[in-house]
Amino acid sequence: MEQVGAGHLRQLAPLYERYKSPLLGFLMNRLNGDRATAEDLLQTTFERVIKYRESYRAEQSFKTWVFTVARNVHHDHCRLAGRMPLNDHFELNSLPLTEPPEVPADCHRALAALPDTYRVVVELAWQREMKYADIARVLGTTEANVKVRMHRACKRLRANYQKNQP
Amino acid sequence: MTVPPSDEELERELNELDEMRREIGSLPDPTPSARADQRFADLLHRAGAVQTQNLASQPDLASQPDVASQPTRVHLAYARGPSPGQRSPLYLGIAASLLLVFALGWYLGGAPDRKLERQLAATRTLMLELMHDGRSTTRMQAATVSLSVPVADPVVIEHLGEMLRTDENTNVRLAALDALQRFTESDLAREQLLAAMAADPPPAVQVQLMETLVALEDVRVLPYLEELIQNDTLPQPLRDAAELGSFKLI
Repeated sequence: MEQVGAGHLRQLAPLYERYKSPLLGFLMNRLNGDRATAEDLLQTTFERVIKYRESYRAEQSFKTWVFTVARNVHHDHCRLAGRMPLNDHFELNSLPLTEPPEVPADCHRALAALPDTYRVVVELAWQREMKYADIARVLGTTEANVKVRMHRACKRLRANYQKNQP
Repeated sequence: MTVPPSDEELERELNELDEMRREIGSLPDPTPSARADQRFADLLHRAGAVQTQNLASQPDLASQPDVASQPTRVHLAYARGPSPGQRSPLYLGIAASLLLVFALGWYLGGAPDRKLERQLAATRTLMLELMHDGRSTTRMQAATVSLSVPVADPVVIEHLGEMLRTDENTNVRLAALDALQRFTESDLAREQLLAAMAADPPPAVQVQLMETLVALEDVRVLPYLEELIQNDTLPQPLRDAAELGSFKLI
C-alpha cells in the first residue's frame, strides 16, 4: 500500500485480489445478502482507496484501513438510501416467490439471529481474525465498547445455539 | 442472589463457544463476479491515465518567466486609455437599457414553456447518463429523477421502459416500474408495461407488473396471464397471482 500511496497504482491489484472476497462478504452481511449493491459498494471502496491513498499511514494495517473505508462506504450508502428496501425479499409484499434460503448449520443460524451491531463484532473477530483494537478502529468506537458487545454477542449466540439444538 | 457457575459449566460454555468460533471462522466468503473484477480493472486503468495526464500537464516552473515582474493582461487593459473608436458611456447606457427591455419582454412571454423544456432536457440527459452506469444504485437514481418530471414525456417514458425491460438488477426494474406508474394515463406508458410483460422479467417484477396492469383493467395482459397460469415450472404463488388477476379482468 505504501507503493500505491507513492503513485504506483498497479500495486493495488494484488491487494484487491487478496481482500475482494472478505470485503464483499462483509458488505453482503451488512446488506442482508444483496450482492449487486455489495459489489457496487466494493467498487466504491476501492475508488476511495485510490482517492485517499495518501492518507494511508505505513504504521497502520491495510486490512483495518480498508475495512474502515468499506464500513464508511456502507454508512454513506445507508444514509443516502434511507430506509428504501433494497432486497427482493422485502419488496414482494409478503408473497414468497423464491425458495427459502437453505437452512445453515445451527451456529450459523444462531449468528444470523443476532442484531447487526453484535454480528459485525463477531464476524470481524472470528471470521476476519481482527484484534479488538482494530475492530474498534473499523467501527469507530472504543475497544471497551467492542469487548462489551462481544461479551453480549457471545451470550446471545450461545442462547440462540441452545435454542436451535434438538 | 445468583449462584456463580461451576467449573464444569464454564468449561462446557467455553467448548461451545470454541466450536462456534471454529465454524463461523470457516464460513466461506463470496467471490465477486467477473463484471466486478472488470470494473476494478477499468477503475485502475482510468486512475492510471489520470495520473499520467496530471504528471504531463504539471508546469515546468524552472523554464517559466518571472510572472511577478510582468504586468498582467488586466493591468495592461486598464493601463490603456480609451481607444479612438470607443463610444461614449451615454450611448452605451441607452443601448444596454433598450436591449434589457426587449430581452425581458421576450423572456417573460414564454418563460413557463422554456422552463419546462429546460427541465425536460436536463432530466433526459441526466437519466441517459445514470441509466447506463455500472452501479445498480446509480441506475436506480435514473428512475428517481424522472419523478420530478411533471408531464408524460415520451423520451422519459421510453427510458423507463428500457430499464424495466432490460436492466439486470431487479431493484432497478422495480424502481423503473414505480416511476412508470405515474404515467399510466399515457398510452405509451401502457405499451411499455406490456412490452416488459412480454420480455420475461424476474418473478418479483412480473408480480408487480401484473398488479399494475390488472389495476388499470388493461385486458391486453390476459394472454400473458394465461401463459403464466399454464407454466408448471413457475413458482406457485406467481401462478396464483396470475390466476387472481385473470379472474379480476374476466
